[in-house]
Amino acid sequence: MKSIFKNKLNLFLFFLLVINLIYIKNISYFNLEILKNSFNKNWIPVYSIYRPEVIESKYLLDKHRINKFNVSQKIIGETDFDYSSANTIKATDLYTHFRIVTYNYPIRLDSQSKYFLFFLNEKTSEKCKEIEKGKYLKLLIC
Amino acid sequence: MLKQIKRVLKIEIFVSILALLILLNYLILFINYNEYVIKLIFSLYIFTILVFFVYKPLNFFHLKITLIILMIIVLGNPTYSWDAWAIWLFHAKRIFFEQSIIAQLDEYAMWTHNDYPVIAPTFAASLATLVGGWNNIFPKLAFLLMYFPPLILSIKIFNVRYHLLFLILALFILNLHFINGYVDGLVAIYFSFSSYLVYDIFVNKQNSFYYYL
Repeated sequence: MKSIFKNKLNLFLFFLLVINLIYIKNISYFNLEILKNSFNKNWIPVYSIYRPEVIESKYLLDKHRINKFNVSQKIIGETDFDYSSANTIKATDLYTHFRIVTYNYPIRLDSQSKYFLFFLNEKTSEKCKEIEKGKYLKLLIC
Repeated sequence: MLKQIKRVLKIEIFVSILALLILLNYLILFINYNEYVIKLIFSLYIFTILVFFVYKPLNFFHLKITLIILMIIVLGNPTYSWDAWAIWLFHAKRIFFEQSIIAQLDEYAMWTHNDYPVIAPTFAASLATLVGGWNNIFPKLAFLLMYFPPLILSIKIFNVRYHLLFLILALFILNLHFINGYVDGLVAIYFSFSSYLVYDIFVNKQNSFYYYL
């Protein structure tokens, strides 16, 4: 430490290092609430997930103890496009679909499951029975 | 001279232990998911880092303060980057919940690139095992902890002035890669240091024991 503070150039470089760290903190989305809850297993990551539908999907599936679920075609979004481009995926509504899959794991997406998540404004088949309606999604058994 | 050799040897020992523990963790998970062994390995890793921080705390002060601040920034940041939640942390989550290093080979969610390497997700899954649960934030810390061996090794390579310069450049170039749950920065740092070690072994003809790690 002495070698840093006894030399002006080293001190200047140390100052630049601190500036760099502050810069990283400023360009990131640092938030004290996240820091406080960083090890809280029950905390809902509201700052990580920017679509409330995703958070609600976990609430609905957990509440009804469902371990395999399916989603509507509207949630799945566009198919047959270039998966290698993150920007293309972001432009479509695939964020909701992919985020629901990753966030709800170990509850799995299964095309054979009879439990369906639909957007609230979506029309559903008469064969489906509504289990619960949330603010953004509804859970149905088909 | 003797003091310098001792200093270098201590750094080499720290780096060797940390690198060995990362590899051992990977190997243990490959053989069998034993919760107690994984917890022991990760605890040893954290203990070694603590010893590095506490043993003569004012030595390498600039590196220690940098690592501490980066740890705080990591834990205070949301997991919003696409590759972080869709690939690396999702693979870690799968390893943690399935208790298997080959969990992602069942072709579930193919768009998460199930063929990607798992050494970093394995380390994050081990941290989750030690903590005893999962959330979206703290597993990213494991990726940052994996930066420690090469960054500690850098003390040996540079003198204080050049080491400060090295850290400034590393932070400036990699910046968010240190904290957003990507492993691109990890690959860059490990590739650079591997190149340096290859140069040191084959050109400089150095043959310290830890180089073969």
